[in-house]
Amino acid sequence: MTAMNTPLTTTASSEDCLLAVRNLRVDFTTYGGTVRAVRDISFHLNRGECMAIVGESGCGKSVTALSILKLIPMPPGKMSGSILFKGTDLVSLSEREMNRIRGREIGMVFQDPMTSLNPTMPIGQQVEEILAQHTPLSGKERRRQALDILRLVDIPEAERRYGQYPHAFSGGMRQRVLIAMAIACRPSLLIADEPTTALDVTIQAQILELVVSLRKSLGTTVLLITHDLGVVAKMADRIAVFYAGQIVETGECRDIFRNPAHPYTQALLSSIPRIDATRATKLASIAGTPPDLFSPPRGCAFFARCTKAMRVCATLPPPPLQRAKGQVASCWLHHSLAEARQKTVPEGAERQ
Amino acid sequence: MTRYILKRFLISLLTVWLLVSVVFVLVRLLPGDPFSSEKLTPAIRANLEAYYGFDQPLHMQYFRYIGNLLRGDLGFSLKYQNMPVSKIIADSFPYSADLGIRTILFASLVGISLGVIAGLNRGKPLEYLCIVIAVIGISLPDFITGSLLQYFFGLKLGWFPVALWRGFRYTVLPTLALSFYTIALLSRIMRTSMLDVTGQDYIRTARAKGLSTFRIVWRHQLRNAILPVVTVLGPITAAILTGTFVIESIYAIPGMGKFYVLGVQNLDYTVILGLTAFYGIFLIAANFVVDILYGIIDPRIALTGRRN
Repeated sequence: MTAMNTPLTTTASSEDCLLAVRNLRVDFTTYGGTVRAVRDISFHLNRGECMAIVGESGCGKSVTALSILKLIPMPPGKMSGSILFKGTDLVSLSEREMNRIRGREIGMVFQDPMTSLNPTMPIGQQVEEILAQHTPLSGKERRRQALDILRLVDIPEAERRYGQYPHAFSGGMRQRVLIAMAIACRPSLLIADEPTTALDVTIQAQILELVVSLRKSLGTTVLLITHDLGVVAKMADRIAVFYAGQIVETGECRDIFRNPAHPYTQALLSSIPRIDATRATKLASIAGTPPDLFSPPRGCAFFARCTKAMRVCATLPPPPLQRAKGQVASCWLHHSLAEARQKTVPEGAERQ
Repeated sequence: MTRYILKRFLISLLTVWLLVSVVFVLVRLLPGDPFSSEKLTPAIRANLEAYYGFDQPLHMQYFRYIGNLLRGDLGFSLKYQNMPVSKIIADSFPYSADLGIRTILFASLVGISLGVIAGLNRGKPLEYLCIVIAVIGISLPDFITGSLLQYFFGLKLGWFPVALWRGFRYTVLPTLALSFYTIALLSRIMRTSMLDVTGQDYIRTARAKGLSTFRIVWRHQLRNAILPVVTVLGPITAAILTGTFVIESIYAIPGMGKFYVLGVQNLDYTVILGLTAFYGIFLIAANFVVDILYGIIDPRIALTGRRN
């Protein structure tokens, strides 16, 4: 068992590894009980790469992102495990020490640009503020640099826009301002939590292009949280698929798109509408709903919705199993015993 | 902006006119008249009524009063000899304004601070302390607080003078008594507002920038949380104004409230009407200032005369 448990975090050399999350658990104590939002996840991020966390709403991807910066409300939230950033464990840092990481080492872009900017502060000041916190620049230099950053994220007429309040900006422009703030101190890691969800499609494409070009020019490592597989295919080097607070599959982007190993990933990919589909083809969907995280199931979390479920799935949580190079899926189907059986039993016969 | 001010001004004129008209009629509906308390012979009475024009039909009196009002003439008091109403206002209003301004400043400072403290200490003893102060302040009418303060700090402890208005030491108790309700009201609003803002996305953004808690509260939370407080400043001015009637009587302060109450008791028609018009204009002006303030604090609010 131990041999099988190891490889989910394909350990890169510590030189390349910027962020390593190990056995992270996040629980929220509520009146209704304890929500186990993130249940023992481990993953790592190499310098310079873009990793995408995908999954449906409520699967714990945003909580994971917020936990890295320790922005979840504590209490009621409770974190355990470790988050190693450049070798320092963020989980054990104090608020004051975290404030030296937030904004300076790790920048974050949030989901809803309409509400994520302070409505009573000019946007220039909101960008300047982060420079004031983390750099020794003088007021004049700060303003100059803030203007440069606003130009970098393609805010037209940055000088004129500098003193304007957020309500004078469109959603896409506000997201650019938020990105400007996140990258103002040239952080080594940029976390983008569904940066395009609240925007319409054409603006989505522009924002993604901006992130791609910034990543190229600044060499920033990006952790992208999204439920949009199109975005993932375009941007990510590697993918971690989340389901019910756990990682069910990780791997290189193209491996996962070409050859998904976990039934959930397969179902997710087949539910993307295809441009070459005929009128008669019905759009595939995943039956059922995700499990209640107040009392997560004993076995595999996807068991109730899985078309390939076996008896073992109901009772024992599947271990992470190595597939191709770097591709790991937590599914009993890839256990040596199941694979041996699959060769003899025709496909689809498992369930009966 | 000019358009907005013009529009507000016209509406204000209409309001003051309505106010004066309604009070004019209501005052005349009260039983008795200004001269009934004095022992006068019917001949002198008739003389007096003719002198003040009370022998004419009511609508004639009304038109004459409005005409005088438009010229800025509030008339003479019917009770105090040779005392124009405008002189009563000029003599007594400074005292009321002094007390009122002290109260507004003190109450805003304390009320907002208590609200911020309560909002930042959710579920801790400090929050409950602030809530208790708020509940007491809202429940106690100002004539009770006024008398209690007089009794303990004036009579028992002798720290402050019991009454009159002759210097800073004299202002402490009436200001406290008048502030209590406002402090309670403001701290409650500020607390709710702080809690509301704490949960906003932009506070999370500010935290993600690595700003210190102090900076987040000071630069991001306060200005947004204070908006609802500014909204109630208008009504609060009105509440303090009515409060001054009672407090001025309790502490024997020669302010306008005292004249107003005496005016009603004596059925001094011109004093009642004149002071009402003055209070009305004052309140309308206060609300106007609040609206302007609102536009300054929240840049999303643009003051225009247009509907959109």
